[in-house]
Amino acid sequence: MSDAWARSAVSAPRHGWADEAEDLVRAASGGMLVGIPLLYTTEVWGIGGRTTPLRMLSVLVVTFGFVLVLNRTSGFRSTKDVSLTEAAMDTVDALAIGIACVTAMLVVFQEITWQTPLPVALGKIVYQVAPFGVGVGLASHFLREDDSEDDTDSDDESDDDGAASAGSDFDGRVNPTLADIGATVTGAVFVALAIAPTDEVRMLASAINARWILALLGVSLLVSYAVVFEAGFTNEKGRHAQKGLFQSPLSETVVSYLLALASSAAMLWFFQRVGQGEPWQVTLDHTIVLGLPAAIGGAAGRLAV
Amino acid sequence: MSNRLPRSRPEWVTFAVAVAILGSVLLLIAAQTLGPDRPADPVATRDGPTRRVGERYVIAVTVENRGNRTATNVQVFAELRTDKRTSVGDQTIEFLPGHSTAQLEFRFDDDPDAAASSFTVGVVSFAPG
Repeated sequence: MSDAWARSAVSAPRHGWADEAEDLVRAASGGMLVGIPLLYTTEVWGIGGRTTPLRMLSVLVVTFGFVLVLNRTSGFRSTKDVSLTEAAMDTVDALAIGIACVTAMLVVFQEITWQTPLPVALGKIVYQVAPFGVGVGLASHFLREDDSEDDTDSDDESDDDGAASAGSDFDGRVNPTLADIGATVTGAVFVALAIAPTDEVRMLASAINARWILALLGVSLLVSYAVVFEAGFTNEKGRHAQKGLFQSPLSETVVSYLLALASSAAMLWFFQRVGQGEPWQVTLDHTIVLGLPAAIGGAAGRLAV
Repeated sequence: MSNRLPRSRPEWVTFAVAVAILGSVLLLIAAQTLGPDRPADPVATRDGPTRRVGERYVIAVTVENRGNRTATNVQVFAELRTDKRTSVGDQTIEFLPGHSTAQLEFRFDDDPDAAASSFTVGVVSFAPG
């Protein structure tokens, strides 16, 4: 194995400046795809202006962790198979690209000027880097060519029935489960991230009572099930045949919805929309309201696995 | 084990620049934690001479938050007393970050610089952010 790798290392083309520029452009483009909606969101500008330094550090740490996970599985580089160390280094690259791009955009929008106090500017940048980093981490899903010349990985392919890749040492039943969990969370974040910081979540949660909250919960489950198992989207047959710990469509739908709710709660906390001395009922209502788009995103994510 | 080739020179240059950028931001954030933590303290003061706009008189006011923390819902109240009448105005600033200023204008029908006229302005309430 090591001789084969050495031979491939000698014969494979070196990653030059043009390749590096392509990777960086791919990263910035992926970041823009996900980050642009929040760059246009006044609530996120406002959060940045009210954030304490400790909170900023927490946001960066959480963002680093999430983007690290994405870079392990996708990333923005043209190679897929990366170690934890390489993924960490790519994550540093991703965050720096995000900081540079976001700062430039905020200056263009004049949300950051020479008169802007430094803490306010830092808060705005840090909160905008989070969605940008997610986009960079997913850039290869959107924008990488299938036959990249630097892709030396030949064993990370999905088979026809949609089961997750078998190129690992994990038990065949655990790996598909982890893939489902990752896909659900990633999809939930991808769709709900732009909605989480807006006032509309709070307005909806305040306007509807417990009966309608339960109805919303039911609708979320129904739509999530329908998207994956009934709507005839690509890979629906694969989902029906999906191996894993949550094998039946009903149990998968319920568990995935719980993951979507957890993602929803995390995003609301991240943007300081909940958790500030409010009653738990308020937090629950907000979570269920955001849970609908998160569940739809999670369903779409599982279709892609 | 990764099948990825060792990092090339361009990748190392990118990484070095990335470390510098990210490190700078972390240092700036850490620097914010140093120094005294002063609560929000918005103060309103008159800014410059009176301007005449048509038939009305415009007074510029600067509201400065002298604390480190953000002040929200800053309510600024202005009053102009003349021998004819008393005129009032109020405006609300949604949030005013620490060490930042906001510019307001109040418009009156009477001349605030006339004899026996008295103009006062002040922050009457705010919520700590």
